[in-house]
Amino acid sequence: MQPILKVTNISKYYGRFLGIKDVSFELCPGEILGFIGPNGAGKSTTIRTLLGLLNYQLGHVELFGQTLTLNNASHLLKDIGYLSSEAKMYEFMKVKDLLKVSLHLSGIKDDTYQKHLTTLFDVPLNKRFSELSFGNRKKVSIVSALQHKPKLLILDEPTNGLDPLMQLHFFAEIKKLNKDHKTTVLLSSHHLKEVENYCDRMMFIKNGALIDQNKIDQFIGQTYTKVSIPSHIALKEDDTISIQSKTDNKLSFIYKGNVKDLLNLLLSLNVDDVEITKPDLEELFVTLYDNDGGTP
Amino acid sequence: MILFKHEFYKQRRSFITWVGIMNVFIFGFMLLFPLFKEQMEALSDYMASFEDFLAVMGMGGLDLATAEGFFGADASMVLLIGGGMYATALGLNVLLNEEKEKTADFLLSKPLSRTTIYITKYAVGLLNILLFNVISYIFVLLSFILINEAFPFDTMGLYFISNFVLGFVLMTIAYGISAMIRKVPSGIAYGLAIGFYVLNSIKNVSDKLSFLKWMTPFSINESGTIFSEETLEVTYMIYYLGISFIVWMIGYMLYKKKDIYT
Repeated sequence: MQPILKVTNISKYYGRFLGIKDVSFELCPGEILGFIGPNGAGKSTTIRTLLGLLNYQLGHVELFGQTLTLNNASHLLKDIGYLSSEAKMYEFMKVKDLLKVSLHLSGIKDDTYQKHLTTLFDVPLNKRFSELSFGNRKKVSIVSALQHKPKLLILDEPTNGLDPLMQLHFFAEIKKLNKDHKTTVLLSSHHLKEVENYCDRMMFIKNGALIDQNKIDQFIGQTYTKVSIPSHIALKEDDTISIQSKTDNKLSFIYKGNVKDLLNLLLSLNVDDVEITKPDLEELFVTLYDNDGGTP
Repeated sequence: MILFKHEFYKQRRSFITWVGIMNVFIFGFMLLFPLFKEQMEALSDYMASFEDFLAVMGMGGLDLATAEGFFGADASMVLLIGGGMYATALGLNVLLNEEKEKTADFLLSKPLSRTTIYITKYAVGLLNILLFNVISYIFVLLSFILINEAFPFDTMGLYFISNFVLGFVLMTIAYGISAMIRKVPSGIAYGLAIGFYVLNSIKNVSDKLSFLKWMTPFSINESGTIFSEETLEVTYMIYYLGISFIVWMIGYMLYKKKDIYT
């Protein structure tokens, strides 16, 4: 199946400073990909590069089978819905006018789906954007991103500021679009539960470089395993072992690798008591990012 | 077309404010003329002895005792400086405000090419400058009717053509520059316009400084020359239109490749 988005070794520098380096990934039609990383790790730089807002110096991006350049970005953006984390729109405009302009700029006149979304999210249509709370601004931005039923949705922290009920509505709508229209989604989020619950795959970015990407169930339990052993056993950290905590009785660590290698390790350590569980995403996040920050 | 309408709608408040303030001033000045007419006749003879000063202010050859001369000496200055400030601010902000107000992500993630955005926003700026001058022309005409003075269609036509070209040049240069930079300190537009105006005044002090004519677009609109000699500064117009075209094109080339930050 031809990917909707194919990113090959793209790098972006801000002058001498690294933004992202050698980032490569693919998104297949209908897939929902979670994009995880701490602040400043390069998530927004990657996303802004895909939208043609930033130039990339090295590498290659293919969107809908066409090479992305700043010259043809506008043509390809027709099939993309983008929700920025800051949810900034024109302050002086009424919400209904903003959404109308947004729809028309996307080349669509039919506002049937827009009406459905504004009802679903209880959008205050007659207020000015400047009068809205952050949560309501987010709702307007969500409608703006979804209303033209794009083939690819790029969502940067979409649920920040939304109450739990609206978060449920939002993901239900995303899942519906994904099922009915094969909408592909790139979801950047700090809410790891969201990624765990709604994404097919996820990728981690650190210091501007992708450090891992896989299916969710591969990550949790197969690629990464949480292990607890008696604390008197000497264990050194390396590429596969990341120690989480050590108490008088128990030493917990995250193991990266397959089960067979893990069992061999435990045998070689003469472990007489062991507890093996699946780590949750938060534990994985801490393991991957604990040693240094995300700033490139 | 939707972007054009949207942009025009966005600019309307600032446009109405500038046109309103400028024309209230001009209207007020011109309505005062009948009160000062007699004094102006005396003042005109007296001011004639300050030939150099009047030349520096770009008012050489104006007869303050006539409504036309009064306009050329006073009201036109308001329009000249105010219009210049408006044109420069408009040119600097129309593109950059999208980045400053963080709405660039919204606009540039829509299926619009950078070329479309660059040209459309510029066209709206241009229309605003044209409307600014057309509305001001109408207000000046009305003020002449109200004070019962003959409206000098020829010289007023020349003045407003010059003022439009000056606004066009200032807006175009500022627009081109705005595409090359990331941020602009607030107030710089007004400083720039006033700086050009002052430069224009300095050049009138001495013939040795006449080279400054080539360094300030205000050389395009000298009310003294227009109202006394009834001619346009065609050479400067062509020169500054050429300069503004070059700056606009450089801005365009850079804007097509510009990184847009939040």
